[in-house]
Amino acid sequence: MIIKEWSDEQLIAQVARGDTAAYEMLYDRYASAGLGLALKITGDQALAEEVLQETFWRVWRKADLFQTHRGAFTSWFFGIARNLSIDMLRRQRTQVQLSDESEQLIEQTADPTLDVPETAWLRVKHQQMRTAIETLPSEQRYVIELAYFRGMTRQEIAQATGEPLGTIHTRARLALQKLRDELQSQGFEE
Amino acid sequence: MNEKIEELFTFYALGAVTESERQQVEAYVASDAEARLRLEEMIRTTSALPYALEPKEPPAELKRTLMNRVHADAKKRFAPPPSQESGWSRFMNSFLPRLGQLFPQAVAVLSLFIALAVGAWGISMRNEVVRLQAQTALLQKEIADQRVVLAQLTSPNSQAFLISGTDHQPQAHGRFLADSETGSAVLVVSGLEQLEAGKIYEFWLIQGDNPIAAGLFEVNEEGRAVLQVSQAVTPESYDAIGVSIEPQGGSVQPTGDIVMLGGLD
Repeated sequence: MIIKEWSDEQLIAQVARGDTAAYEMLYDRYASAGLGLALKITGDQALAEEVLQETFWRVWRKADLFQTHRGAFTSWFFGIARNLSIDMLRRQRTQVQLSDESEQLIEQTADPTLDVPETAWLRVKHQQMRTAIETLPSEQRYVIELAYFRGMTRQEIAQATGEPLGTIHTRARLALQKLRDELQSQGFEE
Repeated sequence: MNEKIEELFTFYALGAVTESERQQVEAYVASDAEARLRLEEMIRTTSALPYALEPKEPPAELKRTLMNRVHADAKKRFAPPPSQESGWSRFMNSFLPRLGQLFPQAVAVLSLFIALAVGAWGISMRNEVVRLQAQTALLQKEIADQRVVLAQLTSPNSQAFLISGTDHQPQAHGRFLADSETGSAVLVVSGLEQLEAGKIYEFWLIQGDNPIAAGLFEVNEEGRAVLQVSQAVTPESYDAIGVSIEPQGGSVQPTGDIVMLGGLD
């Protein structure tokens, strides 16, 4: 089997044994999604690149700590990227503006090292998730935005929105249920 | 079930709890396997949230710097243990002391060996050049194909249609992306089974009862494939799309199981 066809979990197991080719394949698969996430949270290209580099460095150094039974590689990877971004954001005290995703569209150019099936799947997942998020009422979407992409605690969200904590709980719970159902109905793959 | 702690699950999955809340949740699920499953299901959903964002290509320099750091670290951490004396050194160590006695014969044998090696090297280099030229041509074609596929995937004019597995392969699913303006189209599928030798998947554009062959593809280990449709496609001209299993080389009409179907409404 060629390395391009390995699953993320097979690749990370190889990385834990010091396989740099497997590591590079993971980078090619997820660097653009990781940078998109870091940029969304930090709102700053230089900070986002710093986060991405540190995220992948941790993937390399801590590959042996990844446990398949605890979830997919992407959960682990995005978790690291998100936590580092939020730490960075707090340290920098950067004021991030809520941005319109449609304004962030970038034109991708072909890259000889790009894995087209993976990139294609990334795009499909992007469309599926965008479709799922668009089904949420705006107040539920806002709670998700503040919690996940701004790193605010539930208490901070209640304070920022002026809504009772119970309302914030209900919105977040309903939002996650709706997202889960939507993604399932679209055959979303983890 | 501790409802007070379970209320925190949503926020735990969103990464929006305080440190003490995090510890409470983790202590709770450590002793309750069912609660852990409920929490993990929420985490699976929130883990997909980054896909909502537009991917952004990092600069090439970032990858170079990172890979240099990783290679340097790999040398330190994963270097093979210092080897025992290699076979070649053992041979040389035993052979060299006797070289003086065997000098004339050794020179003749070595000369012959070098001449043969240089000849073989020349032939192998010519073959290598031919192989590399062919590989370069293939890579150039791949890059050209990539440009088309990626342009399709990022085109704002692109319409996406769902295609799902039939009873033969219900786990299969995918998207058909078509751009009415340019006529370019791409099929992206996942969850398809790998086929036995001599079989291949064939994609069909369907007009009423008339299926039109639109390309052959194989899937990778994970059952994924991307097919760039070679003919121009206007989705309005067709009613449906499908995928069937056909003999290698494809068929003019579907002859095997229809494994995926989707509408173009």
